[in-house]
Amino acid sequence: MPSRRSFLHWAAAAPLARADSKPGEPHYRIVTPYAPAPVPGMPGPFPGAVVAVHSEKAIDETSEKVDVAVVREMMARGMCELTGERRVEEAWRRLFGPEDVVGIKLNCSGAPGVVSSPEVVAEIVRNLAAIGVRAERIYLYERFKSQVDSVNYPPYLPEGVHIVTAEERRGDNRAYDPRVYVEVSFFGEEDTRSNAMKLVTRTVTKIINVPNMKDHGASGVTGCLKNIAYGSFSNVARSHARGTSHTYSFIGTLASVEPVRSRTVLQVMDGLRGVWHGGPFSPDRRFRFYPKELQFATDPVAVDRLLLDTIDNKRQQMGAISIWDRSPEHLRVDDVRARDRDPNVNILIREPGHVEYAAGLGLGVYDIGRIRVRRIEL
Amino acid sequence: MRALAALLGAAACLSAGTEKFCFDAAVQQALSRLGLSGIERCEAEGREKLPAPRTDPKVRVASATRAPWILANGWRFLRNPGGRFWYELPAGKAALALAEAFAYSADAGFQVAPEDYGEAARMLEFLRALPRRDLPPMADFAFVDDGSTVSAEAINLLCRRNLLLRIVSRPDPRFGLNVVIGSAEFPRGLAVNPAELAAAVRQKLTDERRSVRLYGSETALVRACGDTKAARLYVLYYGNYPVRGLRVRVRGEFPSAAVHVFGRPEAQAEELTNEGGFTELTIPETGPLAVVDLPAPARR
Repeated sequence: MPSRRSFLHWAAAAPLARADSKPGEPHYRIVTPYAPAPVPGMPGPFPGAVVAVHSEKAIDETSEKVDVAVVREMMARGMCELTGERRVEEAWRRLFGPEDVVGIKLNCSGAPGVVSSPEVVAEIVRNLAAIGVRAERIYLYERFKSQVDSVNYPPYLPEGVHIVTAEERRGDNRAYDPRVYVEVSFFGEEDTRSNAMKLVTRTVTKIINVPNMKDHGASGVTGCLKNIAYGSFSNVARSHARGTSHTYSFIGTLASVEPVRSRTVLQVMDGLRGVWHGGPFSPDRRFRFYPKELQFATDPVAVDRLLLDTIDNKRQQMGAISIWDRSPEHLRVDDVRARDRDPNVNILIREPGHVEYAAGLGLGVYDIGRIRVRRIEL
Repeated sequence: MRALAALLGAAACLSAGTEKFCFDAAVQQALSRLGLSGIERCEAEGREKLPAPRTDPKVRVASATRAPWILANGWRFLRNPGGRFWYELPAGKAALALAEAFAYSADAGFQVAPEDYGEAARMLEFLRALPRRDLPPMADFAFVDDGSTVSAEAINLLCRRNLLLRIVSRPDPRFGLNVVIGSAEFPRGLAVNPAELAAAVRQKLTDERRSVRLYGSETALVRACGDTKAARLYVLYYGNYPVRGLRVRVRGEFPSAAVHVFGRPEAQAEELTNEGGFTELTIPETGPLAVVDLPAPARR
């Protein structure tokens, strides 16, 4: 359950501390001048609903070539099923309009091997354009320029679409909003703030989150929640060090900060490729797999709850320890080489419980019995 | 806890300017040839030799964070305000060393690498052009210095963590927090690990009550002067690349701020806010030294 969080909205002057604290959990202070929307984007209008569209033809496992036509069909079917609309344009209009400025949160931490597929991103852009969102009002964004550059999105995009990165050089703070941050000390670090990107707070009105299906050494998995949280705020890697990971509570806390929570209105899980070990990185294909699936939701928790099983099942299939494993014999603190050699090595105690924690913050549905998965096979 | 940020002591932050600086013969001649006047000559003899200021990412002893180790000399100047110091600087470190010594009004001599003569001249001109503001040093707590090496290391790390201290010879009742090594609060065993001591001091002080905070870099250190009516901050940056978007939080609600950034004459304070008795502002980009004056001096 969430705990020890205080919120400071500038309009409301005083911080409000939650009383249900858990021993050892960091104390978070959230500062933002933004108020939540009447219906925040997360979990949005469809809590607990996930549409999973699978096609064996979506990607060729040998060449890793994505079939654009299949992706188009997958997205059309997925969006219609999610929204209950019969026409694709109407499905997109349920969440977006021509007046919106739309941010597309990429995931490029596994670049260039496993990222938000350019073909998937391009199809999202095409659908937005089809309902009247001009290219100039669409922003692909990510934190690190070098990662995004290695993917090379522009050839897939119409002219005018922006690609924005926060940090041309690591540690560059100018693209972050000094008025929107979470303050917390994890390990006695001097810089205790993580600030939201200005693009998120000052430019976009809606966000589409496009994560991948990936294992993560600190958080167990990295899906919707971690992508929108750690990918929209500065100074987040400080949450895990020397075997200990505070991703358990930090991911959900960041994702709940306004206006991130209210503006993130659509989750498109890009599961064409996946990473079952060594994530979020994917320098070679050894730990890569191909779920060949796109998932559509407004509820990030529900999608990530499914992801926990996807990654854990794959690891089990490959003879690797569970993402829930906390045993000391598998822990080799900071030994990245050992982790990269052996899928039975953890370099941190992973925190897959971050998904349930986020549910406790109201970001979505965690109880697998209450998650409605509609599976479509193409 | 008693009121923090006590502003005590006669020693001003800017009592000397660059008048206490001197240079070895070669540098003196070079700077004079570059057009600088009043460049005094001196020798290393009789002066305490200082390490070149820098960061060393390889050294992580006693570090409680992921930040690189900072080799800074502010703590030496604080501990020995009447001292005479000597820098022998490798290439690339002259500007930072001059800035560091200036911020603490240190009596310092410099041997500068020939490739840095131009940079040293530019820094001296920058320092000389700063508006003169004599303000008392800012401190959030007192540290009782028993002269030991344990105290030296403790002061060193406290300064590197931007914990503003005043060195005293005995507990000073004007401060709410007095750090006495060997006391029940700060046992000697704790002080043997300076990182643990710094963490304990920070915990007792609390971040909320600190007069100055920097956000956006683990390698920027501050020398703070003044009070809630007028303040000057020397922001010394020890990293290898300029830091962009450094956020500064200082006690006192100031309506304006002037930022003087070495090498960036166009720099201005950004995103200034007043909230809860503090002022925050962003320094858009800085290298070795940015000077923040609060409030901004009235225009003539």
